[in-house]
Amino acid sequence: MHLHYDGELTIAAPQEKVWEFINDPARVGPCLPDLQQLDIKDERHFDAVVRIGVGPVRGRFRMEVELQPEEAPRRGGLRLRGSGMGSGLQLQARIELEPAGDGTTRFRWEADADVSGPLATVGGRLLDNQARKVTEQLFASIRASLENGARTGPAGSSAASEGA
Amino acid sequence: MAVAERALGQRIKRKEDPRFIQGAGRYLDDIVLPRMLYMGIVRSPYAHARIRSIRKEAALAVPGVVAVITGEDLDKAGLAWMPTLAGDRQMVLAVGKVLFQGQEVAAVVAETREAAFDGVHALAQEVEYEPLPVVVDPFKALEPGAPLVREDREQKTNHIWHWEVGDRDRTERAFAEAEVVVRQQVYFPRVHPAPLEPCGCIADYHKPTGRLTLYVTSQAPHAHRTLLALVSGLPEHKIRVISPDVGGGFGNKVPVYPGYVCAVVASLQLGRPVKWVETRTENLQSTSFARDYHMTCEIAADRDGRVKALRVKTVADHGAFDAAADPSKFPAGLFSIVTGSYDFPTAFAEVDGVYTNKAPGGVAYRCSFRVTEASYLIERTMDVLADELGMDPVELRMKNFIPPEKFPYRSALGWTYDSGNYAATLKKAMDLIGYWDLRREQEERRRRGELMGIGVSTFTEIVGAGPGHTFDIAGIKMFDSCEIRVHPTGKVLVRTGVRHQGQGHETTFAQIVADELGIPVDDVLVEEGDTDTAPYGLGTYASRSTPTAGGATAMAARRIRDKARKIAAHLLEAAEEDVVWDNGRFHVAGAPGRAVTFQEVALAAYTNPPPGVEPGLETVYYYDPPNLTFPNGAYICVVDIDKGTGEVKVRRFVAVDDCGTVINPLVVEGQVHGGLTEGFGIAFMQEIVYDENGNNLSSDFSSYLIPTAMETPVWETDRTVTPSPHHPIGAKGVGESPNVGSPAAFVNAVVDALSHLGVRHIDMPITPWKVWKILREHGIE
Repeated sequence: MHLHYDGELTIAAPQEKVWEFINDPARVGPCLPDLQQLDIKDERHFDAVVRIGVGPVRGRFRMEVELQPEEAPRRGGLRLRGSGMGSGLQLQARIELEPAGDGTTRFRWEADADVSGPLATVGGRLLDNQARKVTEQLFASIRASLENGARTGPAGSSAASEGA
Repeated sequence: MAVAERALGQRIKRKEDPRFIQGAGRYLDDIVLPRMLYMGIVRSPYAHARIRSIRKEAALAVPGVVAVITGEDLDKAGLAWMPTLAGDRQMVLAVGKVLFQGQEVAAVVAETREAAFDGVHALAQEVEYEPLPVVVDPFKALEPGAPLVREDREQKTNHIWHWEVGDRDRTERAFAEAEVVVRQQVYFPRVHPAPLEPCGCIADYHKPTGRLTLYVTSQAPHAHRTLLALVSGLPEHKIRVISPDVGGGFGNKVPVYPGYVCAVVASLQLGRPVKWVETRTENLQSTSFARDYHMTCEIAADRDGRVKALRVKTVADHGAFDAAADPSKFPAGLFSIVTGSYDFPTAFAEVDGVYTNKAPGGVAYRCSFRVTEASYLIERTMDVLADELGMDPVELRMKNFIPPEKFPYRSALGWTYDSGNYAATLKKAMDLIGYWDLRREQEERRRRGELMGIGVSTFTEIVGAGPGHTFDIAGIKMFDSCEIRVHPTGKVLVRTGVRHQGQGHETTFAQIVADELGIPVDDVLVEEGDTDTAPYGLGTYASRSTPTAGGATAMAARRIRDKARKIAAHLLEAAEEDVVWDNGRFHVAGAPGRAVTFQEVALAAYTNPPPGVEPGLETVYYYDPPNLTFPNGAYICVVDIDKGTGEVKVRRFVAVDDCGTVINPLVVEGQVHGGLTEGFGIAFMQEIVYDENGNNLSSDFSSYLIPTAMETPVWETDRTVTPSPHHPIGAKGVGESPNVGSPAAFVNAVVDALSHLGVRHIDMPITPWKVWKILREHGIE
């Protein structure tokens, strides 16, 4: 099952700061929703375990993430391979940053994902909504961390519920 | 004690039903053996991926798990691959890479079903894959640069084989000279037999004696025993295959599946019985599908509607392994029946088999090897021709039927049709449904803007494979067999080489024997499915049981009667030639009073055999049919379409079948009802769908729909009878006719309802959504 998403958000933080944040495993890693375990390998790679529930398909999902900065502080990407609940996920994301005036940053992103296994076959009809929800939570968390000036740790639930 | 009435043709309730309706059947999963272990299978989430590693530790640490078997383990024993019935080979457990979603990757054996389940889940987390590009479209699979599905083959291509039949040059000429040519692309979607009981087995290897007993959901127990001997290297006389009550097969239980082989390996290793029963999802994801034929059909004809030539080109999607269960010389089965019921002077058909990253197959789902595809194609395209010519579909058919006087008829693609009276059968169906009145009603409704359609299908099947000179599976000729034992009290035990899964053999074969021996049907017990007791046979599929084993049963009974005559002559103190058979009794010619009953003869066979005659009354008959049989029928369907929702309502469906001599009308009606219901599901509800990543999106009954009593229309059935001239009792087989003939009737009816809009074809399944979209495209709100 192939999924494609894209979006744009404005973050009330300077471009350099946003760039540093999203390319730092120790800071972007904790923004993953329902994170259970984070294992930072090096400055570009981290492993994470998250809880996932799509309809009847529920369980722990292991992810290997590679950050792919291309041109600081403007263009980069992210590659993710996940497995769990007898399913597999491969995701490639592309990210672009540009200044949006008043010290804010426009954050453009798009992601292509391929899903195999029960997540697609059983959860398929529910997967799209779930993926959108997880994405929203992720960006809400990134934004909240940056705008609250937090250095580490996931955002509070009130910030996460604002949406992207 | 002789019975006055002939047993053949009686409406007798099925002898097997009391145990089934009381829940007292003995299916595979009902069998529990002492010290039995349970096996589960880890399956690939990916349609195409390298296996980087499998770590067994976590699964082995699950309480109750006793063994984990991987492809590497099997490879060391030379068992990683097994032959398919189509002459290809298939991985038992994946070695190196997986080729379709749901493919068997490893087996986990445990003390309980629950522990096996937990072990499977633990192991599934520990398999590391490297995903590869996926190809699910057979046309893309043939393009240069397409992902290569089968790296194990010498030919580095996804093309499996090319098969063609007929006179290409003559057909080309006929098309060049034709006044009218129609061309229609038709896709028969991938569907699944989906028997209510999924597949499973218990492998029970007894180390002290070296005997392996395999209880298995099998339509062909003897074939499975021989294949198992060849694959495993175990001596065949030490293998016993038992196919207990089977909860539906429909072709799905003809192949040997990896699960069976894994259970056997596990039992050989552990010396304990190992049970494996798949889930519904496993059945839909990994066992043999049917159809998936991309067909292009062209008919050349005269302006007045005489057909001149037929040309067919097909791409067959077999998935990752060619696991079709076809006779060995027929990679596209009996697809060459595609000329149907019509007198085509010439024809040419070609089929190309292709590998894709989908589940392997495809089996004959309630049909005789690709016959459904062929019948659907010709019946659909005849309607396209009728539309092109502005003729009524019935008139076009009547004009082109093979006339009764031409039988036995040699078809342009080489078959010899045994018998039929197509026009009479169609006429009967038309009278039953009131065809011309319906056409008038349709005109009126159209004027009012209502959508009503009438669909006709006049199919000819080719079943009962088959004659040894043409048909074999892996070299074994496709004869079949029957053993009859008459006990001293005149009661009879019958065993055959086939294995019913709902066809009613325990009743119908008993009727054949009762009829031949003039005894009550209740005095005959039919047993099937145990290779230690049954004579060798190729099993039940392709509507072959009555044409082959049914023939053997009649011939065996006649042999019994011949010997009984010798004993009767001895008892009556008459010359054998002076003894007359009279339905259950022998009497002396000219003296009906001097008689002995069959039961008296049976007793004498054991108590007073004539001098020089072997005691006892038993025989085995191996019947090699001289030809196939050609059941046929005329089906007419009336539909009404709801313009608002696109829903198609089947208002009436009349099915007139000609299956030759009818052994039991009740069983025939039951078979026809079942087959029509499955045909209805195929036409309107079902498709195995894959997404671009090779995910099977139809792997449970919420996404792969089975018709229930709620959706199923009312069926009206009737018969014509033209006996098969070469079959011992003139029977032809019927179980598959309704599934072969009905899809075209349904689709033709829907297309007919929309033909005034310019609609000429709609691919199945015809869902409300599909119809709704077509209506909107044509501005109908």
